[in-house]
Amino acid sequence: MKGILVICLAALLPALAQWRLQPPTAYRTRAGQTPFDSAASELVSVDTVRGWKGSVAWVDARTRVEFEVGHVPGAILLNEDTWESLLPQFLAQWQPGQRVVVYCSASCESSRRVALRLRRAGVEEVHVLEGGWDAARALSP
Amino acid sequence: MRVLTACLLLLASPLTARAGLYFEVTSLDAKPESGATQLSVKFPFKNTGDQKVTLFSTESDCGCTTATLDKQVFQPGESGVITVNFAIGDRVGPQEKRVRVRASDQTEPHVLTFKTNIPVFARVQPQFVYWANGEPSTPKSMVFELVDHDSPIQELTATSNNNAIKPEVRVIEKGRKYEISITPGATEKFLLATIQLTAQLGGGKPERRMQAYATIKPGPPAN
Repeated sequence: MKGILVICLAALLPALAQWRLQPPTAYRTRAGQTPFDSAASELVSVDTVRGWKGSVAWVDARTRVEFEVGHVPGAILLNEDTWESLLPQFLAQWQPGQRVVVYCSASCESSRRVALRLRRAGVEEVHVLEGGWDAARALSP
Repeated sequence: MRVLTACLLLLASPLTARAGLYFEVTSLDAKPESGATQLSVKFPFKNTGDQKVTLFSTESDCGCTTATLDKQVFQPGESGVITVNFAIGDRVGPQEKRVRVRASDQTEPHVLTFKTNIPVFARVQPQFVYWANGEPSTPKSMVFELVDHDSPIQELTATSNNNAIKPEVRVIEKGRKYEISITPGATEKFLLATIQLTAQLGGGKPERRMQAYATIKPGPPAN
């Protein structure tokens, strides 16, 4: 029994040493909090949006190429890449008092950043779709 | 004796167990040049293992960030560089982007992060004003405020691309902060006007331009 314990310890020590000295790069950097992390109240699910009364202005924060492949029906393209040239189109379609829901790819931060810029621009109620385009896909025909 | 032999074998095994890519740094801060439209950062690495490593793919958080590899297979001891290109576009403020590199040395991707701050010259808040259905056509204001204090403003002018919208500039704090008051002619019909804000700078610096908007939204309210 003692021998088994000694062997196990012998295996553990160099493994711990190697982990400490050169951890896998996947774990060296973790996605931490960014200035654009959403407050809990900003995020909404597809089911929540479905339950809202009144119209919703959908904003697609992805690239034009991704938008043209597929998007929520009636969504307006508005991304950080070409914000200045796309904002007028959003303003032309958005109605005062209309809830705005922004989405992008599931793993990207663009939707939060676009939502923040819309709030700073003067739009009152702006939300970010939980799950991004992967969740919004259910709304496409 | 057998226990000792087993221990020695186990101690030796980790030394050859890991063959992989070693990145000197996996997180970088980068500063774009003034007026730059693209930013490139380089992540050097080395195959410190005793087996060749194949880089399968790279994926990023958004379409604005791409990564290029000069080749895909790296022999033991061989070094390489992954270049990450970031298209700045109309982005402003702090940015943090991640690229995941999938390689044959480990199941989890290598995660490379770069951070930058796109300098903001000035802010206009709100960036647009509007008049809704039935709202009196009283003036509304936006505030232009300088962020880059190295470039004080000598004069700020505002022009509209639509005669029905009239902007006027009033100094709040000379060189730094201005109010742009906008008066619509009427609020019965839909209208979307672009307000061009032009800042004349001193010291021979080129003028800077920003855009704001004024819109009239007739029709019933959304809710």
